[in-house]
Amino acid sequence: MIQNPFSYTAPDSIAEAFSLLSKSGSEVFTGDQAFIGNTKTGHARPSTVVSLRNIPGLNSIIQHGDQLIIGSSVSFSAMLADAAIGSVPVLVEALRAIKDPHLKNHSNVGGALYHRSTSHGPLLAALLSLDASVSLSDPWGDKNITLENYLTAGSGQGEIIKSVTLTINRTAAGSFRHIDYLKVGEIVCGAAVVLATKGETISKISVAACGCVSIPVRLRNLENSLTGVKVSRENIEAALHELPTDELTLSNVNISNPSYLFHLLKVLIKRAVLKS
Amino acid sequence: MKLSNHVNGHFCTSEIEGRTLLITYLREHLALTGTKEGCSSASCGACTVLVSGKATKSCQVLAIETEAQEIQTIEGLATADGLHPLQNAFWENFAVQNGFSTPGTIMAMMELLNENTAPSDAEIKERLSGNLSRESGYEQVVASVKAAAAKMKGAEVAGGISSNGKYIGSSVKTRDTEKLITGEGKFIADMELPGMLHAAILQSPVAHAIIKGVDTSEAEAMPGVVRVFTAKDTTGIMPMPVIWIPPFTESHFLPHPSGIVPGSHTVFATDRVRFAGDQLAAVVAETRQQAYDALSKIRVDYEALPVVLDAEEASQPGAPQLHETAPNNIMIHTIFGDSEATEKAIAESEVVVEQKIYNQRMMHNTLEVRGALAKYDPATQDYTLWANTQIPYPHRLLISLYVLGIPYNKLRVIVPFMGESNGCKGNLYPDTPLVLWMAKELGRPVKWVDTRAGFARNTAQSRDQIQYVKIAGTAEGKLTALSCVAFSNVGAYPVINAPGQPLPLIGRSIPGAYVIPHASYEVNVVYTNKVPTAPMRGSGRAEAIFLIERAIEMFARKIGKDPAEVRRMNMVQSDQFPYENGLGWTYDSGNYENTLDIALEKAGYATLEAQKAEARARGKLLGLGIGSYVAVAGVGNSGKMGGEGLMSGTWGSAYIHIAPSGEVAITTGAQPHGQSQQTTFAQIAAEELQIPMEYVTIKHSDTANPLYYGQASYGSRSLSVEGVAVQKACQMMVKKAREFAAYLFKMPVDLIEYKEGKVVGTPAPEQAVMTLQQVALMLWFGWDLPEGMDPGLEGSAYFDPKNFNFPFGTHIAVVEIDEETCEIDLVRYIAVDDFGTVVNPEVVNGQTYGNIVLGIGQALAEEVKYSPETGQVLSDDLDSYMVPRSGWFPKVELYRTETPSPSNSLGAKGAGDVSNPPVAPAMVNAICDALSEFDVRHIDMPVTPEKIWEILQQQNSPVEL
Ligand code: FES
Repeated sequence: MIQNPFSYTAPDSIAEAFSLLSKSGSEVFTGDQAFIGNTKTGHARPSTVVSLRNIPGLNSIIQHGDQLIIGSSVSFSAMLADAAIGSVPVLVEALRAIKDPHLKNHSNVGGALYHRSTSHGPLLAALLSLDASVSLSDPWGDKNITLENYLTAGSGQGEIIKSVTLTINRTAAGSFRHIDYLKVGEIVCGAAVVLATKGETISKISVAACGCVSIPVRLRNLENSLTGVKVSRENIEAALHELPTDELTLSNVNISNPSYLFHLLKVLIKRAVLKS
Repeated sequence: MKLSNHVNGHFCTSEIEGRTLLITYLREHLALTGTKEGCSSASCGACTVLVSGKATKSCQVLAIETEAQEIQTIEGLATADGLHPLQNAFWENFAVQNGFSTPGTIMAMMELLNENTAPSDAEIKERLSGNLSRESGYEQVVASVKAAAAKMKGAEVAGGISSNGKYIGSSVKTRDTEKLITGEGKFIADMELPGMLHAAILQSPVAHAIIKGVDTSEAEAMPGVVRVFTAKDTTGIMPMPVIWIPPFTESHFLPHPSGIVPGSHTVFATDRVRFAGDQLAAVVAETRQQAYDALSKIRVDYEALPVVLDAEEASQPGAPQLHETAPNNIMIHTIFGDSEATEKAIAESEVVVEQKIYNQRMMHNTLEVRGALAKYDPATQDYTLWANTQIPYPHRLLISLYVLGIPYNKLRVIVPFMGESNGCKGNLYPDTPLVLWMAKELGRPVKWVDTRAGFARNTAQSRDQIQYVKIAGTAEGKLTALSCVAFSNVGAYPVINAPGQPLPLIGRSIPGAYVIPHASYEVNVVYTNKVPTAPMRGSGRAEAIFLIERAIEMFARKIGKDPAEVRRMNMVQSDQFPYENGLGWTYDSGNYENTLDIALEKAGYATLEAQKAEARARGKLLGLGIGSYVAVAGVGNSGKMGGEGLMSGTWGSAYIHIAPSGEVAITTGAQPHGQSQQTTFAQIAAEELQIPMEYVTIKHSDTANPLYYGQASYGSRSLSVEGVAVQKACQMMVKKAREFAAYLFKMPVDLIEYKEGKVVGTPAPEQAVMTLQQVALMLWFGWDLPEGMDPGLEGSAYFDPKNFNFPFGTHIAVVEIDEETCEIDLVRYIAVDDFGTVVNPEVVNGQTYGNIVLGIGQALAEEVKYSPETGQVLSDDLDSYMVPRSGWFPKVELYRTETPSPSNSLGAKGAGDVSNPPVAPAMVNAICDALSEFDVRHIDMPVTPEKIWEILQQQNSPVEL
C-alpha cells in the first residue's frame, strides 16, 4: 500500500516528459522496482510520477563497434540475455550477483543510477570499473559525463538519463566478487575489477567497491598502487595491506563493524584480481 | 485513471489510482485473490505473477505500468484439460502445506520452466531465491519442479503415492490441496462480505509512555471514514484473560473483572503504553486504503518513560516498573527440581562447565499476517467471527465469557484457509474481539488484516531467555548434574498461556536425552517493554535442547572426549523406559542411541578428520555438530496440564456420523493449518473402518460443526491425541455395528466379525453379512433395535492420554566456514527422527523440513532487533528480519526409525514441531567444532560471519587476507 497519493503519466516523447518534469513534485520513473519501494516507505513522495515507458529508444542495447550503449529502461535480465554484454565478464558476474528474478526483471540501468539501492550496487560497481559514461538530456540538450562524476554529482531536476555507454576492451580481463549476506540477495560487499596485463604485470587496473559504501566508488589510490605490480597472491595482499582505512566510509545495514567490512573488501578485491 | 490489459487471457479494464499496485488491482479490482500479499516489500514472493512472461512481485509494481500487457496469475494456469503439470507436481510431491506461499512459488517456477525445460537443482534453487517458504522449506518444491519439467517433456515420472497397501503408513495425496494450487482457497484477507467495512489499528510507536491525549479529529474527517474508536469507547470490553496460572507458585498477573482468571492487556491502552505495538485507536472506513490513510492522521501526545528491554535488568531493583501488581517486574519465580542437591552435586563433581547462553528473541513471521472478519446479525443477535487462529473453540469461549460478555451460544468462530502459524496464531489478541465488537457497534461487517510492520509489533514473539548453565560430571564423561538459572522475557503483558513455555516446557525438558542424576531449573519470568512472547514452533523444548546439547558439547570438549561418545554414555537406554527424567517428564519409549548411531554413520563420522583436512585444503574450516533430542509432545493429559496451570482440558474429541448412504463425516477437535489432518485423519478412519478413504470426510474449522469442543492443534498434539479420538470414534461405530448385527443375525456378538467394511456372522458368512452402509441405513430406520440401543450410527469419542509422548532423534549438521570471509556454508544436514507410528510419511517429511528450516534460521540469522533507546522493533519486515532462503540448503537428508508410543493406541508421537529443537544446537555445535582450533567455546545465536570474525580478532587469531 502506498500512503501518498500521486498522479501518473507516461508521455510519448522526451519533450513532453521534460515539460511534465518541470513541475514541482514531479519525479521520473524508469520502471525500476526500487522507486516503488521508496514510495511505500515514504522516502519518495512524488505528486506526479512521470513514467518513461512510452518514450522510444530507451529500452534497447546498441553496439557501435566496441561501444555499447545501454538504454536507461533496459532491465537486468535483458542485459543478461544480450550477447554483447555477455562478452564483458565483470558486467555479467555483477548482474548475476542479483538472484531474485523479480529484481532482475524489474531493475534497470536508469533505476540503478537514480536510486542506487543495494540491488543496484553490483551493476554500478561493474560500470564504474569499465569507465562507463552517462548520457543525460534536459530541455536544453544532451550531455555526457563519466559515471564516476555522475554518482558524485547526481542528476538535476528535470534531467532524464537516456543511456549508459561503455567500451568493450577485449584485451582486458575483469571480475566481480561479492558477499551476499546469508544468500538472501543483500550484497554486503562487492568488488569489481577490470585489468590489463603486460606479461604478468598489471599495466592498467580499475577497482570499484559497492555494498559496503553508500554509493559505489572507484578506489583510485589502490589502482595506483596495483599498477605495475606483478600478479601474485602475495603482491596483491601486500598492496591491499597498504590500503588506507580512512579512504572510504564503510557501512552496511547488515554489518555493524566497519573493520569487518574493510577486511571483506580487501578479500574480495584480491579474489577479483586473481580471478581476472 | 483507466487501466486496460489482459489477465489470464481475458481483456480487463478498470478505473484505478496512480498509486494502485498491481497486487491491489488483481485482488481488489479483479477479485483474483489467488495472488497473496505476504510482506508488501518485494521480499517474500507470495505475490508473484507473470507480466509478459516475466516473474513479477505484484506488490512492487504499479498497476498502471502493466497497461496493454499480458498478466498471468495462478488462476490462469489450469486449463479445461485440467491442472498444469507444475500444479500437479506440487500436489504429488507434497510441496504444499498451508498453501499461502504456493501460488507465488508456482508462478515464479513457471517463468523458469518457460525458459528452461530441464533445470538442475541449483538452477531451481537460484530461481527460488525470491520466494520464501516458512512452512516446509524448499526440498519438496525442488522435487516438484523437476518432476513437472520431466512430465512436460513427456517422461514417465516415478514417485507419486507410495503405498504400503494400507492407509496408515501411506503417503496419500493431501486433501484440499487443489484449492491451494489453483488459488481458489480463500484465506482471511481474501474474504468479502456484502457491506463490509475495513479497519486499521493504530499501534503505539513508543515502548513506554504516559498517554497525554489522542486527537482523532483529522482522521474522522478523512474520506470514507465511518468511525474512529479509542479507549473511551471501549470501557465495556474486559481485558484479555490469562488461562495459565501455575498452582505451585506465586504469580503476578493483572486484574480481570471476571474474578475467575487474571487479566492482560486491554483492547486499547488507556493511560499508558507499555510496548511499541500497544493498541491506541482503530479507524473503520469503506476501503482498506481509506482506513490506513486516516490512521496516519491520528495524533497522540506521549510523555516518555524509561524503557527496559532486558529480562535480567528488568528484574533488578531500580529498573523501570511496568505493572503495579508485579514488583521488580517479576511475573513468576519458581524452581523445578532440587536445586540444593544439584548445587551440591556440582560442587562435588570432577569437572564443571559454566556458560551463559542467550536464546535470542525471534519472530514467528508467518507469511500470512493475522486478520479477522466479523459480522453481527441484530435480528438473531448472532455473532460470526472469521479469524486465522489455531484455536477457534477457545476463541469462542474466551471472547464470549471473558472479553465481550456475550452468550457463548451466540458466537460462531470459523477459520478459513489459514497460512502457517508457527505458534503465533495460538493466542487471543485484543484486535480480534475488537473487530467483533466494532461490527456490532457499526451494524456492518468489519474486516481487519494486519500489515507486515504491524505484525512485527502486535503479534507475539518468542524465545528470549537468558540462561546461566552449569553442567558437571566425571573426567571420564559421566554426567552428574545440570543446573540452569534463567530469565525469561515475556514482554509487556502475558498472553493467554504465557507461563507454559518458560515453566514446564523448558524446565522439565532440560535433561534432554540423558540420564542426569541431579538437575534443577530456576526461572524468573519477567515483564519488559518488549512485544509479548508466546510459544513458537519447538516451543520450550527448543530452549531446553539448545541448552543441554550445547552444554554436553562443551563438557565433552573440556574433558577431551569425543562428543558423540559422551552423548552415548549418558543417553537413556532402551531398557530404562518408562524413564522418569527427574524433573517431571516420564519418557515413554525409544532407542536414543540408535538414532545417534544412524546419524553418525550417515554423516561419515569415522572420516571426520579426513573431511576436515580436505576442506582445509580448499580454505574452509569444516565442523560437524550433533543435536540429539527428546521432546515432550501430545498435549494432554488434562489432569497433568491442569497441574501445570492450564485452565482448560486437553483431551481430544471427535464426532462421527455415518449417514444412511454409508458416507462417514467426522468432526475433529484439531485445527488444521498446514498439517493435513483432513487427510491423515481420513486415513485413520479408512483404516479403522476398512472402507475406501473417499467415503470419509473430515470436518473442522467451524464451531458450528457438531462437536462439543475442540482443543485445537498445538504442541504436536493433533495426531497422537485428536487422531486417536478419531480412531476411537470409528471403533465405537464398529462396536455398535457388531452389536446391531448380532441382534439381527441372532448370534452372540463374539461371533460377529468386522472386516472390509462389513459385519459378518462367522458361522454363516455368506448369509449373515451387511455392509457398514446397510447397518447405517437400518439404524437410521430404527425399525427393529435391540433393547437399549438408540437409532442412528453416530456419536462422540474422547481421548485423554495418560501420559504425553516423547519423540526423539539425532540431527547432524556439517558446516564449512570460509577462512577469509568467515561465511558459513551448510554443506550437509542429516536428520534421524522417531515420531512413533507415522500415518503419512511425506506429510511428516514436510513438517520435518519446515522444522529444520526454522532451526537453521534461528542458528544463523533470525533475531528481532529493538532500538535500545525507544524500544521500537527495528526488524519489522522480511528484509531486516531474515528468514532462510533456498540457497542456504544442501539436500536435507531425512531418516526415520519407528518406536511406537505406549501412550496411545495409534502408537503415534508428535511430529509437528518436535524436530525443530535439535537443529539450532547441531548448527552451533558444528560452527564451534569448525572453530575448535581457535578455542572458541560458544557463540550466541544468531551466529553470523561478523561475530565469528570479531571473536577470532579478539582471540588473537586474526583472520588473514
Ligand atoms: S513479495 Fe510481494 S507480498 Fe511479499
